[in-house]
Amino acid sequence: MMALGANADIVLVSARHQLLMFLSAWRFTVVLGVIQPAVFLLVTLGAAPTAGSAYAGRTSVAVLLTAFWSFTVWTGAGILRRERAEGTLAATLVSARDPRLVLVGKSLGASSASGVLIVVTITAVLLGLRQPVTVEHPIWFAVGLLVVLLSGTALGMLLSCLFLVTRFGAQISSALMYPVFLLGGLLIPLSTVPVPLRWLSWLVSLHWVNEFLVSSTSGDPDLAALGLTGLLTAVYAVAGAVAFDRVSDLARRRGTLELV
Amino acid sequence: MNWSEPLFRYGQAVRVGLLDHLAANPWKVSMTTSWPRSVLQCLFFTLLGGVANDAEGITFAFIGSAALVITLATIVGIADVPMTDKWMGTVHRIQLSRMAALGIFVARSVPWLLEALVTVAVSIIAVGLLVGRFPLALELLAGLPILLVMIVSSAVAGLAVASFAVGRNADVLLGNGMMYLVIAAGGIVIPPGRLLWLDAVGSVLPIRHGLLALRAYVDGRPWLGELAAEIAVGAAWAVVAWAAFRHQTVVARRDGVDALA
Repeated sequence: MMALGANADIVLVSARHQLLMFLSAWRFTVVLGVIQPAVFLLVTLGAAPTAGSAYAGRTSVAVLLTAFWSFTVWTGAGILRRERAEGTLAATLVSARDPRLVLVGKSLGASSASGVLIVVTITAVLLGLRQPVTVEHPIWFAVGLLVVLLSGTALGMLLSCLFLVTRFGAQISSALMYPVFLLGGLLIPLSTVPVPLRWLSWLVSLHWVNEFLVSSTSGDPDLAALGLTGLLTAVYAVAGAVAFDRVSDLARRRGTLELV
Repeated sequence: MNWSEPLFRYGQAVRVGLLDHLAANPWKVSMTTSWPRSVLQCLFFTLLGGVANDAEGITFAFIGSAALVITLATIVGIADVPMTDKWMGTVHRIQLSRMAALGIFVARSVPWLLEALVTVAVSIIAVGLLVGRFPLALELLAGLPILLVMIVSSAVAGLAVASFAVGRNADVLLGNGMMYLVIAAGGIVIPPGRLLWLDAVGSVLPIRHGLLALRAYVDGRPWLGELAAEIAVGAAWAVVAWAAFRHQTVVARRDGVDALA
């Protein structure tokens, strides 16, 4: 029980540290958490000025997930690289506690901060435009948002390990954004994507959580989509843990990965 | 006046800019990440235009999205040119130089201009094929002189933005902020005029008038007036960039700071 409490402490302290990082790097946070979702929402709602609240609800969910993905690939994915740049990666890897707890905590902090900031931005833009949005099942919607955070945490862990083994993380982040924008079926309907590529959306948890959140705003909650989101999130988390073990192996046993 | 020496110096600045660019963005990395990102961004915004307005929206957004690709290099990318000197601790060398700071940064930005040209051409061809607008893509490529004006005007605007960013470590915020402003107010996906205040902001942004000229050129309407407006906007941004770098260089020398602050 004590170990569980200590582990939770590590996760929470790491999450808090990540939040402080976001505050100190506020310029980047503003671009990804405020400017990008605000512009996407203005453009998509502006493209259909006569559309009703159902369209606005669908679009708001899609913008939320689109901006959340951008935030994940630009910040959550760089957590371990920043640890290395700040000289704390080695200390984390050789600490008495499981170093994965630090990564989980920081990824959770990144996902939570980005999720809250984007939701606040979208709400502010909708209020500014006086655009009503209805959510028929607010509790299920909140459950969906929680799953978004968990999925972002798992994705952040996985990408963070991958980005540690390249010095071109910024370019890869840049290249990873749009495939998910296009294949996730978020702002762009999957019907516009070439048929042979559509199956790729099944592998994107944000696609399924988008289905679930949209169904929570109007109609019956799509619980199958929620289940698939949970399943994919679990797969990402396991892949992240395996990737971390691999990175740890490269750094500690083989000595082929620089830690500082 | 002997032009050979300044030409040699600026030539060397271009060469350093190219070497810097290739060190940070090797061909292999550019071709596998940056260039595909440009194509996918163009495709994304093109399809976004079709969400609400189908075929007509796709055609409108395709032209806008192609022009938007330019800003990835000329506004977001160029912000790194003066920042690199700050990161590398070489700002004082520029302050000591007999060459104007803006001139050095313009020369070092040449690779980004070439990158903008390549990515916009690749994006137009690729997305034109993907969305079934290849004849339109060929027309857009025939409007290359208009695209070149947009590349230059947005590049000087990018340098002006970078001049404000460099002392405040705000290259990411201001560079990306400017690009998103172009998306919102530049008539990229939706025609300008839906929100009056955005429209007013858009009229002084690069790309906006050049894009109107490009649309007019494709439609067979008169386009020289809008192109002249794009050139005027670019010239105004060039003056802002020149004044900002000059002011910062003077202040930096006077106050003994080494960060173009």
